[in-house]
Amino acid sequence: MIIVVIRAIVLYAALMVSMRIMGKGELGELQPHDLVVSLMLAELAVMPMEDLGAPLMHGFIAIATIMFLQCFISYITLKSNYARKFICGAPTIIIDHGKFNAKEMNKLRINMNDVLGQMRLKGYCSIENIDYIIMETNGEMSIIAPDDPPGTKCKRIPVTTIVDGKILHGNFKKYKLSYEDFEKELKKKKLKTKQVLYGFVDENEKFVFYKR
Amino acid sequence: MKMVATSLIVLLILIGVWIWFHFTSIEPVTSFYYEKLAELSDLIDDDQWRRAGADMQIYHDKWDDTRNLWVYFINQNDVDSIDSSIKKLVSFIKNQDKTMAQAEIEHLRVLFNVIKENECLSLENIM
Repeated sequence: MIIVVIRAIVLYAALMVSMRIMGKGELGELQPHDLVVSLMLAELAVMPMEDLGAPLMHGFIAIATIMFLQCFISYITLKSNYARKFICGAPTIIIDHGKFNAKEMNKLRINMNDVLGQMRLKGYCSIENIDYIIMETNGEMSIIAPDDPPGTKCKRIPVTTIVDGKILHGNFKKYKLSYEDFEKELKKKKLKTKQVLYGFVDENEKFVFYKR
Repeated sequence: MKMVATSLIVLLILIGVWIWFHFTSIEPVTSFYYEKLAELSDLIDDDQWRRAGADMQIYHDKWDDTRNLWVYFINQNDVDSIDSSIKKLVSFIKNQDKTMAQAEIEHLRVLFNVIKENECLSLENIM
């Protein structure tokens, strides 16, 4: 009996250390890989706790492997846009000014009831009052409505141009943005791409850059 | 980068400990018992009970030292099975029971071989 107690304490400490190393992102289950890790860690901790015949070393090695994989995947998704897109996916516009993107809704297996439910949960009763509904990579739906500031209407969501010093060429094509204007604006602000942490074009075609 | 390095170091240390254990204990000990038990079987076949008893005492003492390390890495049930089998073999040799002693030697060889096979890196074990 006391062995189970001691094993539980040791495994709890090992899990706490691994969660601290993996960081705060893990606690919110932000991305698919975060959720997988949370599910697996829970199982891995319970296995050696229940099976008194299994050495704790087996549990430690499994936890350490998952911890390393999680840290490594977090690191590459932080550094590479391609890896981020592949592992975390990209946000999807479900409703764009009253126009439904049925193809994406089918792909995401979301039905109209889910959308309406999310709208009600966030305090909106009619699609008429909404500019955009976006399915985020963490599975949450975000709603952009012209309430703030009152009386204005969001013509288009801000389009990201640079993330972590890397230009998102795909967005220029997708939203028909002028690459020349973008370069001009960068030159005007005496910035190099690598110096920019986040850049976007707002609904008025104004390029905005945030330095590192 | 710091967290990747920290987690990699932790993982490498644990894998390093495991490799050290595999090559300094699992491999030599299982091979030792696999060979020595075959020799013990020959001694029993020739009815050299006194020599078999003396050899078995050496193997028993060696196992006592080995098991203290193995319990940290190998499933406790496997270690207990070897424990029990060695105790039986000691008793069979003491009572000069040839049939049971030979059977127990084969059983013990299988137990050591299973541990060696379970711990080696192979597709069969992974699947």
